Amino acid sequence: MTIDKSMIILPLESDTKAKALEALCRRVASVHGLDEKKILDAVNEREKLGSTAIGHWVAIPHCRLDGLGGVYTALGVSQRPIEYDDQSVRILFLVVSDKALPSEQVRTLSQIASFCNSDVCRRLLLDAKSPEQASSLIED
Amino acid sequence: MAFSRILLYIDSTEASANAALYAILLARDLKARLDGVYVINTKAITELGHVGIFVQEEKDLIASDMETDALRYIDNVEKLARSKGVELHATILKGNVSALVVEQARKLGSELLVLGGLRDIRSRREELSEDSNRIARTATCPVLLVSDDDDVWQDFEER
Repeated sequence: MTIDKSMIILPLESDTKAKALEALCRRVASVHGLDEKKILDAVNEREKLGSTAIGHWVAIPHCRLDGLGGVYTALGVSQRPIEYDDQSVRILFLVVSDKALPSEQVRTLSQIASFCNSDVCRRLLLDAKSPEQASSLIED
Repeated sequence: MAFSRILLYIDSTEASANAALYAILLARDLKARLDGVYVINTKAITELGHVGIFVQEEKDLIASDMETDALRYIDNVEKLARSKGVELHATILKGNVSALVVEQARKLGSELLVLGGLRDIRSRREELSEDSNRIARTATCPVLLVSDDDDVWQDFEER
């Protein structure tokens, strides 16, 4: 799994779930030339089905849209806990997937879940000082 | 060495498409039976449900989309095989990709397993989890990896 430093917001300064999701959707949209509102609406629709906070300070919001041409991931790391439904999170991976690429979406989400399952990886990510450092940590 | 029974691992990657072309020509030249296997990774979908990333509705929808995808990819390979006078005997399985592919090779008595070239491994974590990598390491029959660099398409069209 790799996440380019341009897709990493560190520190993520948002103090609410809504603002954090907005910031991440804006980053994906601006880097990949996509429609920010469409992505944010799809992410919020998905959140209505159930929270994507999975414990240990981590949330993995995601959505599927037509015609994106790929699977795009953004990462935000906050120094302060963000209230995310009934949990507090500091690490947010946003995964935006083309509906036509279900296997790629599952592969990406599985890689992120595997990374976040490690105490050491989460701790190192929370201690990262820059997007560059976080990017190279994820690659290792 | 001649192979009379070849198993092609099919997935949604470009590397797999290359492997399909190579396997079709090989089966034709060797007059071998060509089996195909596509595995829908329901193990990963289930795990994503367990950790709370997928809700049930998503799991059902994505599994259904992956099945549609599987049928589409198999249909493509069948058409390519037919164009060279080769019949593809394809199976769709659901579960753990690498374990099922290796098991299918054993069950069918495959003498050669053809895979797309290993994806660019961009991290040590990927190296351990990549399906093709794991299949290549655990298969009990000879494995042929078709490199992305090979000019397979051109060869396929010319022959």
